[in-house]
Amino acid sequence: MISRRQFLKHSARGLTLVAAGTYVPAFLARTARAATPDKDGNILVVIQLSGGNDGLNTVVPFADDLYYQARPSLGLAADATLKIDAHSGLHPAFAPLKAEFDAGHFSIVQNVGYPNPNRSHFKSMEIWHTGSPGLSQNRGWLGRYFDAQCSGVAPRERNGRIGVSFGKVMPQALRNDANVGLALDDPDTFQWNASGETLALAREQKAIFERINAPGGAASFDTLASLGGVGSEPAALDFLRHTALNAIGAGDDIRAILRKQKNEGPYPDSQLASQLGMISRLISGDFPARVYYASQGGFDTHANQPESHRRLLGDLSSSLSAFLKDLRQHRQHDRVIVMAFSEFGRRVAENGSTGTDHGAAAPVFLFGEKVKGGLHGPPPDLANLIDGDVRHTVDFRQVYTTLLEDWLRTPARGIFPERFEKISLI
Amino acid sequence: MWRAGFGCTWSEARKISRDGLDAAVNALLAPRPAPDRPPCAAPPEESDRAFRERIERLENEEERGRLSNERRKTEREHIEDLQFWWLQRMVATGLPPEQHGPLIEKLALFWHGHFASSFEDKIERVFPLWQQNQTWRRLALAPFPKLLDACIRDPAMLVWLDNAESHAGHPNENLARELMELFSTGVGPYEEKDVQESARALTGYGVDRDDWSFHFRENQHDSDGKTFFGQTGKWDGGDIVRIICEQPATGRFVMRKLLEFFVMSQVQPETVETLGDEFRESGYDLTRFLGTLFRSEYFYSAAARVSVVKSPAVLAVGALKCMHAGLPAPEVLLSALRLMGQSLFFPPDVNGWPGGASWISSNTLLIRYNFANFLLHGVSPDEFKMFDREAAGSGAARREFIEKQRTDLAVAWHPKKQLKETGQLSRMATGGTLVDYYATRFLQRPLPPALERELLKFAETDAAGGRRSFSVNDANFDERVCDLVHLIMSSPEYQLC
Repeated sequence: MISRRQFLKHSARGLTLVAAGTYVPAFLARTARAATPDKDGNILVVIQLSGGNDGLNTVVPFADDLYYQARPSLGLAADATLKIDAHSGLHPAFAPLKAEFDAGHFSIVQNVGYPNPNRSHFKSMEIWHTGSPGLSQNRGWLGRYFDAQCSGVAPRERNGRIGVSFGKVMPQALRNDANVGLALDDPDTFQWNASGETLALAREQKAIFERINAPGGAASFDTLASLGGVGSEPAALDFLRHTALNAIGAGDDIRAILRKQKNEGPYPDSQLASQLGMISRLISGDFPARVYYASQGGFDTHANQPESHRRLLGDLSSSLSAFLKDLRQHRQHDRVIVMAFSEFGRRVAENGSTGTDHGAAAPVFLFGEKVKGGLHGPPPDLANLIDGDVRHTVDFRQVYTTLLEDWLRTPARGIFPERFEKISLI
Repeated sequence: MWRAGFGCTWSEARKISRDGLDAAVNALLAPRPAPDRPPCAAPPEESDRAFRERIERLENEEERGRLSNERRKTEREHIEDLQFWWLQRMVATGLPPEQHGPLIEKLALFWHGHFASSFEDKIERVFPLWQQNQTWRRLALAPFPKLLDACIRDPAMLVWLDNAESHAGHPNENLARELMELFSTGVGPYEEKDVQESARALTGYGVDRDDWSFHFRENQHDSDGKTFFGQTGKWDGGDIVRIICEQPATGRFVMRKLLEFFVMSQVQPETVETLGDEFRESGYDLTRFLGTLFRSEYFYSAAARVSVVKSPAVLAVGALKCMHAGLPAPEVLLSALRLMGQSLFFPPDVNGWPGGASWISSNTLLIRYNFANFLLHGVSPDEFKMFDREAAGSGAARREFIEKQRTDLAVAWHPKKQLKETGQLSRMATGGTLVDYYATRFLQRPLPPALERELLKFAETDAAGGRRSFSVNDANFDERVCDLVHLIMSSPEYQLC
């Protein structure tokens, strides 16, 4: 029996010929979108913890007196933590993830940051997204990965290389030149809506809409412009038609997959959980994206931290644990790695409002069947701080380089101008 | 008119075709007095300093936090008022002398993107941004050195690029670097040493936070000698601007941005060089340059025709000008612009909006294509999945569904009434004349035949799906025109100018 994947590859090959004509019927274009050579490839899910997660109260260095001196009211007692070795314990709200740690599917990279830490949310987030502190860079590190994947690939074949982000705007990390990638808050809004008052008019309007947006030849904005356009038509028109068709097609594909696929097991009721639930369905439904992006906000705990931090970590760990179980049920677990990061950690010393201010280095978390579980690197050296913050011992681009090369199988050299030493994480 | 302004109303278009190109270009370039202060942009009655002093006296920490949050919230609401005010002003443009000209607002938008400063992060005050906006409007057609000089004295810019506290001995290089990299020469012609030396020249250029005025702190200014682009002297900011504007790179860099904004997305390097050098040698005479450009064959050449991707502001304002029926509720317009990627006063970074093809992504294009629905039915993009009329079934359920969608946030456009008032109703005898009329209003000529055919097909489909041209006597005439315009605005052609 011919599998769905094989069928799609075949029809994709047939389509290149069809596409040379002036009009590709929408259903054929959609089939092409779903077909990519890398369908069974590895997948990276990024979770952004926005606002600056307090690393010290997430992975607690309970053996260090300096920790308790700096945090008389916020410090978590050793017995309150979920001990993972003789020095460190997880925040009790991480209980659902402790099982993953014990099974070796949860890896903690200690003290991740970069030189001359910036303590502005915006700037530091930009640095994590672009992977280039001190350089003006519009594209994100994952965007440059897409560009590397897409170079020399015709636009209509590029779709398998897209990333999908959940949120209103495309995170800078995914921003790329190849014009691939989707950002959707709610898949239901990702469509063109006819306005016709009667069903017949709405249908006619939709059909006409699809025809006026049907692409001619396959080309990108750049190559067409340099050729001076197709015939007498301005180049930009075709670029627009491609983009429209891609967006609508991908939106239709995503909605179809989300309708058909089911999540296994209960997810908590939160925005992050809902995003991860959709990501799991897209993965098990063979949507061809290699990168998914989700985010959780609220980590900027300047005041009354204990309650809010417990709630945030609780949401993170229960959502993530549900997601990982779901992937296992669908037998997709061995091709997914999750990375959770925050733009910075928080000040070692607590402030006067039972909170913490913006800090520097913090742990990065990786999850998945294929990660090397456990703690990587020593606990933060609280006797040797930089302006009151944890010094970094691992550059975040070492983590990125490891993920790019050992997981997404792409040389990091085209993505970062400098070479960063890999870490043994995968 | 799309490229020099924001599209035009039917009466403007008639006036231009009556009076000719020359008269129109002269009218566009005619200077006009700057507008009154918008109601929302007055500085808060209590200055930032007085406010800070007042809350620092408060014992109660919670109360202090509450007051600061409240103040921040007020400013946030007011910046939306300012965004809407500016959009309103763009919509209200017309040919001078009767109205304020579209070119000035278009240039203010250009300079806002060129000298990009954002409300977010550092400024977080409406007044300085209004003040800066007014500067770009007042100097819209001024020679470039004047603009660059205004830039290094603009309070919002000085705060945005961290120069306000820069002082001799510890110069902050942020403004100095961007002044060249993004505002004038572009990367290349200068060295790190030039950045450091000009940063010294800009020390002491600060802001009086009481009234957000420019404040030169003489005792913090580094008045020693500096060497900048090989010239040595006790330079201050004015000298730095003068020397920057002597550089050929500056003429070319600014010219490239002007051509990309007004003429085409990808300009030949030779064109940039020739025109850039002429521009610099003319003393950066922008009025003369644009006067020549708008009359040139180059501007109307095949390569330049429909090759600029409309920015979201131009796309939205243009639609409203073409409808000529006022504005929708602010939340509809502002959220659509935000989702299309251009919130005024919130450029993504100091580099402004990259423009061109970057306006178009799968997300933004769908928002652009659904924009007519947002305007004409008053749906906010956040809830437009409720607007799926294809999935709405038929019969009574459908009528109920559609009835529920009507909101008072929409643009109050009544095409039939408008046609009657302008004495054109009698002309609209066939689907063909209607398509021709509305395509001419919303798109540039000539209309691609394939598009015209499709639009005509829609005009000749009746409510039951049969083939019968819709007519001015139909009860649902207005609805049908809106549907037609929705299709026109969902064409790739409408995205370009």
